[in-house]
Amino acid sequence: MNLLARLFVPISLIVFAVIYYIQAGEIRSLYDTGPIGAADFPKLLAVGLVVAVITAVGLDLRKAGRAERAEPVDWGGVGAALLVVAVCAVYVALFRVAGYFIATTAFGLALLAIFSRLKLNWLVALVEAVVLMAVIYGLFAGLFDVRLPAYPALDLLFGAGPAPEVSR
Amino acid sequence: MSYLAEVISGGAALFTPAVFGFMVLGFLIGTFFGAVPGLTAVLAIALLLPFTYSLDPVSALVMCASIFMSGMYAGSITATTVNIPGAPSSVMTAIEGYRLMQKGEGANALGHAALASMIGGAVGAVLLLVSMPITAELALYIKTPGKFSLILFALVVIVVAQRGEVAKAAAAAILGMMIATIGVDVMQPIPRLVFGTETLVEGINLMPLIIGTFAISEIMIQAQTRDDPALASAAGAAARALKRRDFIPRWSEVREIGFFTYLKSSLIGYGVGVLPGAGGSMAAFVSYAEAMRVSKKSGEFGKGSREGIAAAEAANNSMCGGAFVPMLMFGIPGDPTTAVVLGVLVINGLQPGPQLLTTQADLLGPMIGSLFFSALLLIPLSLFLFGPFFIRIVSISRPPLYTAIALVALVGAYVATYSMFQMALTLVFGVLAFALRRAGYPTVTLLLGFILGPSLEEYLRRTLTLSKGDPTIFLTSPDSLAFLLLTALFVFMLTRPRRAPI
Repeated sequence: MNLLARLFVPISLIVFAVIYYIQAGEIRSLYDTGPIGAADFPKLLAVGLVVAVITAVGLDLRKAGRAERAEPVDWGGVGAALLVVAVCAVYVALFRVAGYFIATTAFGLALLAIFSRLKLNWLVALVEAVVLMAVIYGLFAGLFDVRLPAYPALDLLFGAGPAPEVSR
Repeated sequence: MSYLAEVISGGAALFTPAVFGFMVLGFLIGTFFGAVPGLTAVLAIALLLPFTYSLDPVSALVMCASIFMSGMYAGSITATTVNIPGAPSSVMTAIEGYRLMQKGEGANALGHAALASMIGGAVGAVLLLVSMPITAELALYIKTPGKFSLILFALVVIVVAQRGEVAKAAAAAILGMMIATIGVDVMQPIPRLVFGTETLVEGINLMPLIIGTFAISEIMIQAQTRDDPALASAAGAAARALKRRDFIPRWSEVREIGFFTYLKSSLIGYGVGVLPGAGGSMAAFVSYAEAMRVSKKSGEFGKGSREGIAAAEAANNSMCGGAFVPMLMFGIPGDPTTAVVLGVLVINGLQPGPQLLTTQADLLGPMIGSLFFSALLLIPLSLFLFGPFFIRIVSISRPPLYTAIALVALVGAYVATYSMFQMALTLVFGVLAFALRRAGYPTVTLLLGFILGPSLEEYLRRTLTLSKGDPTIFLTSPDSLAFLLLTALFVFMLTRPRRAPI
């Protein structure tokens, strides 16, 4: 694995720890809760994370130095994984707007295409996507009596604002 | 009514048609997820989480217990037939079972795995039943400093058990604790680390973390791999080679393995299960190593030893009972699966602790009963009835399988709270877990850090408030000192170099 790929996650964690530490510094206690205040434990965690990550990177680089050959990064596989994320994000964004039936069928078809590396019979894949959509609808809405936004939300489509969320 | 009487009378609920049906359904689901490489019983229960909002607690816990037991057993199916462990806990079974498969004794190996799983699972369930009151009594003696040290012990053991990646495991655990601090402070009503948003004041729900970590990240990882046509044909050939009558182990072989081996392996598995974060793979490995050490036929190990299969499988199924002890009594998961089951308890408004034995004994009965009957009845029945079909599970086409999992995961994340934010959070945690897994950071410690972090902070702050800032209270308090010494002992035992059995 090349250096960039190897350091991406550790650097991201350290950046998160720094932002987290700065945010922790803005915590103000309402009253005295003892020697350790509301901000202290988070700050300790942030420092701990940085120390652990730096140690892990050091050990990793030492292991990599001893390895005879660096593993190549499977960029095609990483691309497929990121495509899954992108498709999931679009699905989440369109879930209420387009409605369950349309959004889920399209989402299913997209995932089938990604997992098949585009080597699929599109008609068969469409049928599979529709079947999966129907089975899962039957499971949630039918068997477990759960409300799903089945149809496109015209109020959202035409900018009337989101419906209030129901929390349990 | 006494504890035992309450639990047994509560256990009668297991035999109502609906609850029994959920046990069987859970068993089949767990077998499917346990047998397919890449899927796990943890994933199955994670996907079940949103459904538990609509299920009653008894049915939910009964299903979780049977998924847990069957998932642990089912890993041995593909481990033996195609040398691919369906679960990490079946690695030792793959070593021995596949050798027997190559010698034409595959069905016999599967029979031995099922027999050992049956015995181990049943023993583990019985031990869970009888040890709970004792553990509950002991739990009452643990005060605030001891509770901090107990949780610290759990976290340290979980981290150090990730041999070879301790620093990364520590980082993941700390990250989990950091995520858990988002929301309201543990001791006063002020928002913390909400990054300027109101939505985060409610904190991070366990459900998107679990579904994202186990389901979404797995889908992303599977998107990177391709179908292996050779695997499908190997599975087909293996299924054709098996005869049902050969599933029943020969009595002479069972006598040769010996009742003591089954019992000892079950006890080892149960004991390892009680340790926080240890899991089935550690239980199987420790039991296997011990069996090899004392076996009169240690030379057979690695070449198709039925004794090796029996030791590993009895231990990993008995572990299921043990893992429930710290989870039910202290809220400390014994393994990743019980971490997710803890989520099921919380969703149903149940708090772990000794009070469960007095207030919710009627829930424990069906759950323990599910562990017991899944092991004793369903394992041998399912092998005999469906064995050859289970082997073909690996040849299921991956695109529709993982598409279905993605749909259940994301739609499930929505239906639990009807919140688009939770759905989006599921995706965020999925991406995070994927990145961590690719970089070698264990996500199980992330989850356990998230679950245990708030309690660790709360007991730390309360203890230092009680002692007016004097940290020596952790050493002068007997319960705390005991757990700190235990921590040191386990760190020593887990970090010393050891010889691998093969």
